[in-house]
Amino acid sequence: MATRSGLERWFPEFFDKYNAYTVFDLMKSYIEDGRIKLDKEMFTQRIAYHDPCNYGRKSEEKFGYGYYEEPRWILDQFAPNWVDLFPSKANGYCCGGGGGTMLTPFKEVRSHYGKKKIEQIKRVEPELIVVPCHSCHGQIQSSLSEAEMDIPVKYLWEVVADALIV
Amino acid sequence: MENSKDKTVKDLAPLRDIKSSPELCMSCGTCSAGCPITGQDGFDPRKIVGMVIEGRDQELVESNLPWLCTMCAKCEHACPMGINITGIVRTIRGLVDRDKVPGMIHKGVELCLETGNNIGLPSEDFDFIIEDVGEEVAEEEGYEEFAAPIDKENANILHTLHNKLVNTQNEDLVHWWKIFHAADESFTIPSENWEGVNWGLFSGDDESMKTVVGRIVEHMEKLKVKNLMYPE
Amino acid sequence: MDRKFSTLVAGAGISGVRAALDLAELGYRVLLIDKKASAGGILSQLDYQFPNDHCGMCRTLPMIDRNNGAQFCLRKGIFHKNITFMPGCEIETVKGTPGNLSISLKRSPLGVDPEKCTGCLSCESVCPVTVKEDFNGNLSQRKAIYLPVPHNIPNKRVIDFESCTKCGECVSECPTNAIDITKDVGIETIDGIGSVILATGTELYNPDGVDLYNTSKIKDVVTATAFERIMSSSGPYKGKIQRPSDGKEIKKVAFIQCVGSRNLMIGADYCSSVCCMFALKEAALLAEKTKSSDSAIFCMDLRTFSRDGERYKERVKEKGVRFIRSRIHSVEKDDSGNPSISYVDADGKQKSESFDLVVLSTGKSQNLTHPSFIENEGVFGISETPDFKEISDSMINSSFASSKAIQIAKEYDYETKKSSTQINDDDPKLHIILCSCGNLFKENVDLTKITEDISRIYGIGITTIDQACSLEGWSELKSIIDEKGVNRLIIGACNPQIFSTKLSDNSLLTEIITLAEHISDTESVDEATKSILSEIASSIGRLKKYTPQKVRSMNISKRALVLGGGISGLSSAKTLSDSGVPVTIVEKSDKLGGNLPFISDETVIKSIKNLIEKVSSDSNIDILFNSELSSHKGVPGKFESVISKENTELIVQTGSIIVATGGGKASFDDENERVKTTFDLSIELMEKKVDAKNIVMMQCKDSRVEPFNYCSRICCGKALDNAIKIKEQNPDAKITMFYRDIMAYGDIEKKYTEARRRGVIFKRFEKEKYPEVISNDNGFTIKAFDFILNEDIEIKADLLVYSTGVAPQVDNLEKTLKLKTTVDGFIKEVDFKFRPVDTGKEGIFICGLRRNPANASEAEKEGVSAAQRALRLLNSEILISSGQVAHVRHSICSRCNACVTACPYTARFVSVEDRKVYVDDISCQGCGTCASVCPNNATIIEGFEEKGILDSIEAALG
Repeated sequence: MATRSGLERWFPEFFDKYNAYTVFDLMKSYIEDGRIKLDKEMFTQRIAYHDPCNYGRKSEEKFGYGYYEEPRWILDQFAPNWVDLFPSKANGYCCGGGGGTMLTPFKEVRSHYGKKKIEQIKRVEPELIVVPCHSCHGQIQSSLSEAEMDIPVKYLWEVVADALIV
Repeated sequence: MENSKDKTVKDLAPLRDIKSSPELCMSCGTCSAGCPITGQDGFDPRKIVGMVIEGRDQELVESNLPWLCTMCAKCEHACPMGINITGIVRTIRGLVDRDKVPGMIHKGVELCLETGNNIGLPSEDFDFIIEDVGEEVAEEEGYEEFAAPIDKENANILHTLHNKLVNTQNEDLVHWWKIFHAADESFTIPSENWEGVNWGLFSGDDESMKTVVGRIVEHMEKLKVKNLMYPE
Repeated sequence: MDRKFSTLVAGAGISGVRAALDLAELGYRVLLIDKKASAGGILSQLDYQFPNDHCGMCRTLPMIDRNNGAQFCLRKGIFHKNITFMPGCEIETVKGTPGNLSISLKRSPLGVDPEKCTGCLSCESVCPVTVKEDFNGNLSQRKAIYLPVPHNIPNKRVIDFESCTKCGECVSECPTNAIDITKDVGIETIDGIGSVILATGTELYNPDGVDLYNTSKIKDVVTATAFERIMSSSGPYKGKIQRPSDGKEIKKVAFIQCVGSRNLMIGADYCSSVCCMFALKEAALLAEKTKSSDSAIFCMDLRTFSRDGERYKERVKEKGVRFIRSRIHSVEKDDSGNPSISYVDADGKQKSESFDLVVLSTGKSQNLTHPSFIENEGVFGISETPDFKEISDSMINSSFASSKAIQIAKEYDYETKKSSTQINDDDPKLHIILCSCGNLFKENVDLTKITEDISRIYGIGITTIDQACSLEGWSELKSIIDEKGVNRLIIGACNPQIFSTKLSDNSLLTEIITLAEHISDTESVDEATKSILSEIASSIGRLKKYTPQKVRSMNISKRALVLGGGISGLSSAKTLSDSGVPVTIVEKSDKLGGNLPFISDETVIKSIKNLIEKVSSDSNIDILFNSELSSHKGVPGKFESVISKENTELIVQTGSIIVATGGGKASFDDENERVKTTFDLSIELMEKKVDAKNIVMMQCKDSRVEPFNYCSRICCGKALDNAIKIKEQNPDAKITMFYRDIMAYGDIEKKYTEARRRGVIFKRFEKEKYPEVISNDNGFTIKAFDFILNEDIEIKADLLVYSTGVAPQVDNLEKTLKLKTTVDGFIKEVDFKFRPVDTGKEGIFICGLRRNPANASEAEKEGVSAAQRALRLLNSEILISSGQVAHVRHSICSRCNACVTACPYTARFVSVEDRKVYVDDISCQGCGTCASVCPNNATIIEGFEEKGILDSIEAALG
């Protein structure tokens, strides 16, 4: 998000010379081109997917395209039991860790955000939560521990790496 | 932040594509209704826009309000007038004296400018961690050939890193490496200025943000990398 | 060249119907088309209307010469001899000049020949395609061959070719070969049309497009029209008020306003004008029907800008409906699956509340434009852009358009066809015709028994026809009538309403029996037979005793009296005069133009000045200045009015009276030169710059509070104009506007947006807390509470501008003319929605500010519309009273006057000469209200004399 908007704003000529890909673009193309194979037996549990604001809503606003379908497609390839939170995609709730708030001392407000996310998560009763963002990962983990809930949180690329057949 | 003395948030905040200025706000409450922290510690997006319209910038700059917001844009997404609410918040953040920026954000930016990463990790530590974790990967079945490629020229993908992975959660460094390896991808990690996260975005500091983005362009040129994987 | 139709009206919604009836009532023949398969537009889906929560659409129907068309629920269809309705039609092109337009129509096949369809349902039962029924807001399902409007008459099915698979099942199943699925869309050209009225209305915003509130996955979110269907007894749940997801009874509803409106992000910089009142009405209905009180309307402004809207809103509030000033972000679901909504309350706190159902108050769809032929000469649009209008505004705008069409019809001398068919009043010769509908009724009814019983008991001839709806059947029916010299007929058939229009050319008194209903309402052949027999018997009773209608022949005074020479009066007079009716204008002052001095829009000023000039130089219009109406008597068609003019009195005889005495600025007095009214400021701004730096505008001054508890409708728009002008002159001027609800309806919303864009600051206040003004040496300090910043504020001003509203003229006309008024002194129309310019008294019409707050162009249109209504009467040669009118048996009348008060048409009056109660049989609509209140049985309704009715009752019970 910061890099892409920075490149577009200050280094537009960058795009004449190079291509730039998001994590989703890369993983999707590896799977589509058969460069990686995934084990379909490994992640059969109920997985909840969380949309990070930056890849979804904010990308849509800034770059005219939100990465909503790609992560879902990737999960479809090997994790048959993933579910959406409600609301999700462009209407999804921020985990509470965005905008650098993880680095500020306003913990109470951050944990208020977190409660909203936890409510959403509770409703779908997942066994695993998958996110494609470092901030979301940290914040959701900390919200879960505040709520004394024991659900693992993994990166999208982490579950992909775990399911790799090599 | 030049000119900020005589310009207000209203003038400075970048507009969205629809070019709606804050004055267009009809205080309908859509943003406040959708924001998960409305009412927390006095936060209310509609109120922030209202204060901006009336030029009450200083109150906002001195308050915690801009730092409570995660700039998640849920408010903005539904705003029927297309007001630049997150642009306003970030602009206010940018007007705060740098020594008054709360928490780690600005300190991280400063460290990044000085050391090339947001936590000020010395390069020898970095080299050690990367090598060490790379070796761990190579111990796993199927990844015996793996070695973390630092400053490799002519790679296909430039891979920057999140400071948190290098610092506290280096077990999470391995996932992408494994994927790259399995996909037989040629990638490279820069040894200097390896930071992938740009906190200037959060602190409202365009100049620093530009510098950090510029480093990525430098890596691409210096290492003759073909493609970039966005760090975040 | 075929010059059959003077006018083509495109769009058969309420606007189109009004325009078509305007022309038809004057005898012009109209071709009414609609792209849908049925007439009625959106109103066919709505059962209830503000302000009395009933429908009342039928009140649009002609009230003079009523027998010219079928007189029943207008939502079932439009039947008038001079109106030809063509469904499934759209205009492709318009060529030619007014008086000779050539119009090519795109005609979509309906698939079913309405002449042959008997409504037997066999097609529906074999149709394999099931789709969502849009008529019921997609809450129910229908087949590809279906009834577009379930309560339409005649009840003919059509095929929805978009979903039809052309499997042909229905074609082979149809017993009357009524179905043809081979036809394609055809182009048909009709020449010789005088003019076109474009009444195609608008499209509703479709929330399935941009999912504004994230509701696509929540079942219990419906549009306002769908909710109306849920509450309708003909709706998807047969009137059981339940929600779609689980059938739970709906008690608590959240209405989300401005869905698809007032949203720049989707290109909707307008207010859809009607949704606030619509939501109020639905909330009120729900509260009443379910005895619940916890619903909420989520809104920004609650735009109750029609005359009685403010008081209606307060009544709805008393029923427990909450108005929450928060636009909502999105709808979520609570743990039990109910839709839930987060909002910010007045204290700035965020709350979350669950509801049984969420209703989206969808407005008009964005980006709609009229087709390009609207620019052609001889084509008149009901509105400037495809627009939503409150029904009464639609009616007024329609008549405004039809008046132009009538001018053309007149100019090009189109034939008028006025009917004064009389019912033969020879001795009654009854005959009964029963249609066996193929084998349907033979199987379900004992036709032999019916025939035997009727001839044995009544000695009346009875004939069974195999298929009366077929061509052969129809000619058989006609030959029986001719051979036997029948003058009173009873028809029993599947859906015999269609015969009523066919037969109305004959001098036949007809009673109709819907056989199908008797079959579906009973359980055996015996029961059905018995039920039909009793209805035949009661029809015989009525027909035998029926007194044929009398034709009241009266010379109509071909002159109109227009009271008031303001904007509405002038436009009225002009319209009348253009139609050849001489006019007398009575004006209180010494000049024409009324509120012209308070109008600041250059184009409007120009057009009014133009109007004054035309009226002044019109030899057909007499203008009496410095004069007033002092007394009045007479009956519609022949009123006698006494006008006092400078100590002299003169008598004017007119067929009709138009009340246009107007109104003006509400009184307001403030000596301080730094205090102005919005009206005065608007005039000042035309000439010079305002040099004030800090301007505060205060809306609703002494307005929308008792005793002036109505919205003046024009102040917000004017105040916005003023604010924009000041900002244009001086961008640095600081303008703050305190408002309760910005009544920027329709495209006035664009002004509101523009004012904000230019930096005008808006602060809302509550009715109970008008901002406090403190005067000091430098100007004023205004103290108020800021709901957004949640704090007390003080704003300095060097100019204070009050919007003081408008008030009706005090002229005592309500007493002189015996008209009804609202509590606020506006003269009341007989039906707010459907007959907005008709007073309760036939022949007397009301328009302009004397009726309701209106801006200049609205007043002008009302004036034309009132003239239009008067013309129906003034253009008649003779007046025909309707078949059923009331009479008074003076011998037993105790003169208690209960009937005079009760009559909804003010058709009853006490004679000054003999103190007896009389009925004006032109005004009387035969409704029977008088009879029901009369303690002495002194009231008789023709055709419903006790003898006939008792015979009917006896027969029905026997």
